[in-house]
Amino acid sequence: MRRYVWRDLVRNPRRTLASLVGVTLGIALLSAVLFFIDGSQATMTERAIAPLALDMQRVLGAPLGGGLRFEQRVLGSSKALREGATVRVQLTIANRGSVPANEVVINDEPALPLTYVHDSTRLDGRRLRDSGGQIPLAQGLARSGMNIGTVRPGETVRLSYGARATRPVPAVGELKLRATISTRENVVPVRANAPAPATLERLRDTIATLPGVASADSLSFVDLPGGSLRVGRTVVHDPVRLFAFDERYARRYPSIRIVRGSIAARSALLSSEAARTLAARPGQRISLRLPGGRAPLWLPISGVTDLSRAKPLFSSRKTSRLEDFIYVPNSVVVSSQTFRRVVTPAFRAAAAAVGSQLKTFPLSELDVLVERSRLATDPARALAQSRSVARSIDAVAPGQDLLIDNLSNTLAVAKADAAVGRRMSLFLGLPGAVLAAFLAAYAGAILAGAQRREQANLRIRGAHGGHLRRMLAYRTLVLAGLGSVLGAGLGLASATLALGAGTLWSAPAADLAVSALVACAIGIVTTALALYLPGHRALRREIHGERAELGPARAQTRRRLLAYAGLPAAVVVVGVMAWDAAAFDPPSTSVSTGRSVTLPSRLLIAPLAAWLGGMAVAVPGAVALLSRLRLPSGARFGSPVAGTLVRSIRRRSRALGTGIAGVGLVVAFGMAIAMFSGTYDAAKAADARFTVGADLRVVPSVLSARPHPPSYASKLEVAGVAAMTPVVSKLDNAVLIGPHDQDRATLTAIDPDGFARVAALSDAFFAGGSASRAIAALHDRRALLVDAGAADALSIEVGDHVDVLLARATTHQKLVRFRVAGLFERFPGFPEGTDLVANLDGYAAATRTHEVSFFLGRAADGSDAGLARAAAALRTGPGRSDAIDVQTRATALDKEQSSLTALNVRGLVALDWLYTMLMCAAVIAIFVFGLLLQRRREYMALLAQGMRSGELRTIVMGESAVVVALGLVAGLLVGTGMAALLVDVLRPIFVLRPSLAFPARDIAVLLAVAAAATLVCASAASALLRRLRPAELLRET
Amino acid sequence: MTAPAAVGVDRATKHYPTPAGPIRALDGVTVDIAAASSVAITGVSGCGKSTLLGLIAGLEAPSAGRVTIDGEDVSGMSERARAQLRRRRLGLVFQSDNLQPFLTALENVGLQLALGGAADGHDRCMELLVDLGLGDQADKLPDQLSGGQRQRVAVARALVHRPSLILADEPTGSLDAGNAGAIVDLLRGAQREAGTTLVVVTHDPQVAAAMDRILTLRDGRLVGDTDRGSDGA
Repeated sequence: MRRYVWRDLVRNPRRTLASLVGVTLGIALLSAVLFFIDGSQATMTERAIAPLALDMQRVLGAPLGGGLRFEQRVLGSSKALREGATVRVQLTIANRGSVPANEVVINDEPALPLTYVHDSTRLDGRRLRDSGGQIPLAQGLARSGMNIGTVRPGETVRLSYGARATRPVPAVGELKLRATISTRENVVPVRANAPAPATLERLRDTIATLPGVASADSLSFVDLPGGSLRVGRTVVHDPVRLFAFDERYARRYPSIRIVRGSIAARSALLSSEAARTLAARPGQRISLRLPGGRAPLWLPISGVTDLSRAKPLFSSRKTSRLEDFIYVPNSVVVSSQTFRRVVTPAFRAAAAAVGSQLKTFPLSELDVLVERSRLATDPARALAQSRSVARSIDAVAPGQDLLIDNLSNTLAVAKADAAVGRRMSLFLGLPGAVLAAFLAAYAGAILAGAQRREQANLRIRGAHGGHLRRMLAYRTLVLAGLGSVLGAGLGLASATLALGAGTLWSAPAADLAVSALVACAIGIVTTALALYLPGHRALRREIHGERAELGPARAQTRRRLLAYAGLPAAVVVVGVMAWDAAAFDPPSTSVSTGRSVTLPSRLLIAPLAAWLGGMAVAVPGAVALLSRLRLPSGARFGSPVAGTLVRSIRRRSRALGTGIAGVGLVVAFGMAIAMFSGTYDAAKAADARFTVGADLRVVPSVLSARPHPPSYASKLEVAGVAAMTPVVSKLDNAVLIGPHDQDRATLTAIDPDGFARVAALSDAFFAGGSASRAIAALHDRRALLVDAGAADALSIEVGDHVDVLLARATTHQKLVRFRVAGLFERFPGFPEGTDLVANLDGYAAATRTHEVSFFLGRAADGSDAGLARAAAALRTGPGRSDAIDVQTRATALDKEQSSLTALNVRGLVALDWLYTMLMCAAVIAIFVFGLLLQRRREYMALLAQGMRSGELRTIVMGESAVVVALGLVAGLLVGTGMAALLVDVLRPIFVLRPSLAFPARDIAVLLAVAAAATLVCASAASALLRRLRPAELLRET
Repeated sequence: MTAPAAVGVDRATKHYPTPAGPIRALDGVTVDIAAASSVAITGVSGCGKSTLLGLIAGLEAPSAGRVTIDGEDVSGMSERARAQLRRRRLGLVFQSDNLQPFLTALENVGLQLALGGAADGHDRCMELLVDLGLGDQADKLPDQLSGGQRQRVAVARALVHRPSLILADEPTGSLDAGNAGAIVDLLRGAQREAGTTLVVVTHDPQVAAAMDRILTLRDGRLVGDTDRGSDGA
């Protein structure tokens, strides 16, 4: 029997091919998506961490060092305590340093199962009163510690209290003692019995040798007030940041660019801005005024450095704002030795001084680079590795400082993105399995009909139902297995082509193997069922099955009811679920908090449900339309071709429905892919334009010695640039004072006319709904636009008058009263947000500053090529004589977007698109050749009656064209709905809300492929018809 | 002067290529069939009867030799001319009715007329169906008719355009004796009334006996030619 099946498959290659093509293409699509995601994930680690400036930072908790030693022990106890036994807990604070420790706070409570013995606390033998019946070392709801004041150098303070065991304690040594100490100098609480504070050097030497650590370099810095830095009589009036790092550190982080001279011991590097302000050059001496009343520090200038892009130096160290780049233009770099010997002691002395007003403290840290080449390509495994490295770093002198693990945070986001990518395969890959099953079932049904005769012959020769079912099972297994394996192979090949062999094969072999197995397993199960069930049904059907095709049936009615009511209802339920879950609300993304885009799987099922449900409604609709086709009037037959065609279509509309469903499913999927792809590209472009603020952004470099007043914009209006407008903005450059509260704010000042001409404005950004009205309101120099969130936080409303401190923390700062003219949700050019927008002329007049932060420009030709030409003209024009940085929407990649973009959605979509085309052609071919197989006797009879083969071809082509056309219409409608849902589901990955694009070119290609496939298949079918032997066929009964 | 034969077959040979080598289905058959006569072609299965009929109908071209109808060389005709011949001058009946399943009985008959270029043949079709006892079945689809009824519709389809030559391949092969007799009577009646030439392929001796002449084929060759004159009535 197996041999019979095998010979049947081998000797009927066209039938076998028809059964295999759908399975192979569908599974190829599914497996290609799985392989593509494997390959993409293999590079996700590399791509995710590429922009990371610092892998890990070990920030010292006690930068001022300090000589305090803090011990805690249980006195006079044996190894074990019985229930009710009392012991005395002693805390010893010894200052072995050279400066006093001020405002020393001790916090402690008895370790469980000990309880405090009331009124038992003693300070140097002196009894301390309980506070509200509680131990004085942990008072109130907040369990605040006790301030014992100043501990002078050489002094030792002893605290003790009694504690009673509430249950037996087997070993006193195992009690979890938890006293902590903090001081004004070292505000981070340190646990008792901690090892002596480790020095930066010791930490560096130990951590640098840990497995997985590539390097550990020390960095110290502190902010000095304006007026601290001078050369001769020239003073820098703005705040100055003082850094300490060595040459090795500068080499390790190339964003630190030494533009003149070099780093040298006992000398200083100046930032470009500081050097310009001071008109200083190497060889001159700077004077740095440090706190603590000491004499200024004099150092020779050894060089000038550009730190304007030095992320390792200026990334915020505040845990809530780790991604912020807070640049301080005037900076000085000294050696670590100078910092340790001169700067730290000066601050220590200042902090220890009575009535100290010190606002900033030195911060010392080890910046650790992990051996990135040893990280796994898969973000999940890389995350486990980085966390392991972080744990081993934390284990070196633990408990005294803080580890900021940027690497793990980034990898956690990448890991979540990888999971999102997997979920994306639900939408982009599973349709392959569905289509494979559909095409297999379709081909199976056609073949089953054609095989009825052979089966009848076999029955006559003694085969019973069991034999036939077994043969069907063998045939199904061979076709499903072979199709799935071929599909997986084709998928692997196409994923290799799409990604490149190097990228794909960098994925772990186990992952690729699992993907192949999953694709094959899904393929075998779904297509086996799809092939077996129609065959099994056909076995039970009588030879003359036309009645079912032509007449109504109750089962069909039930199926139609399911299609009309059940599936759309399911779609509605899924939609309501999604809405209820509020998952369409885009969550914000932030690497610092380790959050990524959330994309619940159930939401990706919604477009799939819309796909199947939509087709379940559209196909019966198309069938109903066909069954109402007008026949020639009266008793006329009409022209032979038209009369035959119209009657065939009208009376066999349900049979055509399967073809319509096939074409419609493929086209709908293709349409959704094309629309999503177009929308994705448009949304990315819109996001990039929003991020830049306009087509172009020109940022004067810190290296530029020229002033950049607003009038400089006219110099930038070179060929290809239609307009330029100046913008002033700086992080936290203002204070917004509301009726009840105030807060730091970022103020942006613009020229309303110029900004309206060039900026990427949208009405959706403004609460009033009109961008032009909001910007026009800024013609009033005292008008202010306020971020809706900031306004809400400070209870500010449109029409209110508010005070704003402009140019905060500079010598130009000034308090100005504004009227709130409008609120905005987003502002172009500021993906990370700006709080206030004001008139530039008003800002300049109030602060008497004229330096512009950057210029926004509109390209004369908005195309990519036009943009590139404009950027080139700027670089070769004004950029030749002035240091400017030209950014375009093409170069500024949407930084605010999720790293999901690293998944290369475009590549995935291109793969899907390719298979959509192939399957569109395949489904049309199956339909046309299925017609040929099922109706060849009809066609031969028509030929015998005198119909010409050309007329026959017209009938075949006409019927195919009707099916393809209706399939296209159904597919286009359903695909549009799917795309709308998919874009909504994937909204979180965009900055701006995307609007659905209609990619006419892609759709035209899809239509052209469908038309060409119809033409080619109908012509091929017609040629095949000519090769048939009519006399023999017509003789068959 | 002798009137040209309605059908002339001159040393007609037909080969079919197969993987095992060519099969000779017809081997140099020569026969003339007079106009308005009825001829039965008999022989065992596989002897080449249907192949000969297919060549006469212009459905296939002979590998060698030629076939003429009313003196016109069918095998040399273009595909278009052969189609024209079939739609106007030939009527074909097969063992299986080969009706179009999506056309009613009336439409199946009407299609043949439409192919012949008749603008409106409703009355002619209905008249024929009524004559064949199918007047009340005209709007039914083939699936709704019995086997005998379907074959009668097929005969009506073959007669409706008043062909000069009717070719029938085992027209009674799948019918019971009663229906078979009725179909033969129908064909013979039409042949006589309209002076049509009737060629019937059959291995039913009773059907063959109803024809004027009996040709016998064996292994693709004509081995018997019995002219029964009017005995066949």
